[in-house]
Amino acid sequence: MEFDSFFRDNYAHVHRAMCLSFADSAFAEEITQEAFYRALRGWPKVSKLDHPEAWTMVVALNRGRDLVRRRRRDDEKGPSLSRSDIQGAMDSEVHDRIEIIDLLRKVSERQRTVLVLRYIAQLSMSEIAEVLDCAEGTVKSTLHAALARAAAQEKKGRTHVAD
Amino acid sequence: MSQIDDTDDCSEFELQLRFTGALASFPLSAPPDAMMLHQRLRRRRVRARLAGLFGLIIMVSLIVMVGVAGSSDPTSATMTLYGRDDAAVSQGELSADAKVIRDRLHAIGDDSARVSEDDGAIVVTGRTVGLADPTSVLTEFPALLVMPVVCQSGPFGGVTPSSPGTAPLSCLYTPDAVEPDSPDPAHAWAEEIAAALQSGPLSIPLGLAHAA
Repeated sequence: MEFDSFFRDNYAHVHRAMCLSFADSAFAEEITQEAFYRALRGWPKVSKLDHPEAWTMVVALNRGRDLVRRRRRDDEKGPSLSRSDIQGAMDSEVHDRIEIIDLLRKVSERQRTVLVLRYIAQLSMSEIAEVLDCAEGTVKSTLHAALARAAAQEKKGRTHVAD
Repeated sequence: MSQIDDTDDCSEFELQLRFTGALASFPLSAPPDAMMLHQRLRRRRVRARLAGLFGLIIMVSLIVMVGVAGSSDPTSATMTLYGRDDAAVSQGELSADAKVIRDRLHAIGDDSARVSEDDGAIVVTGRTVGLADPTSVLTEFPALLVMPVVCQSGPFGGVTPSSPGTAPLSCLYTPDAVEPDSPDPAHAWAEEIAAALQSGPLSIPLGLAHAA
């Protein structure tokens, strides 16, 4: 597979995934390009992977996580995670977007990676386990914990509002 | 999160639909030109090569410097001190002078210097450290190199030069005056010489001291 075609075919999808994960289009663009650059650097190896797109997403997620941490430490403005700048017309897609962004914000970084690979890269549990180099059972439990955590926090929020 | 509040009720399919909808809410962004990434990679490789080259140059320079500094090639310098023309120099005198020269060179740190007698001359081989221009030093201070050999060494004594730059007219051989533990008056001169010794073939007539 040629890198240029891989880049052309997958850039938009990875960028969207990063937009969803970090709720900041410019930040998503930055880390997406960085991830593809790293893919290019290691292209002889990356191209032989079963899911180079998933690999690129994981690299972008990790890069985003590192940048967010660094910018918080340096007191720089990190990616905007507020929903105000992404709210447009309240169609169903934007509603989904807000809910998914909320979900991804509430879970841990590891859980977010699993969610992205599962529902954006659309990998099976075994494929996620392969990409993340862990056991399939670990992926299942991580995914379950992510959804449970999100649900628990949602319930807690609703209770707080009711009070 | 109202509809993702219970994992048991939220089917995979439903969640997948939500992710799909969320993704679709973002406009499709056109990918930038891949050439930009290629150029970035090219620049990185150039930088890496330059850094490697620079590192190699530094390494080679260090190796050369260490090699030059640590070289003990005995052929790097040869200095021959000929005997006087006006009087025969005995083998005993040469041997004594050679020993003095050897001890002084070793004392000033030139451990690789070898001093031997050869056909009426004293031959010093090895790296005589520090002498930038032996010819000029010898021209200016012929006594510095010659006097320690013929006058100020152990068994030769009795005449003290009036100043470091002036050679005595004659030297007296007085074996009884040997005082192994006494400081050698010429040692300070030898140190001065050592500060300027260098490599390169050189011939010095011992009679120079007397010619002065």
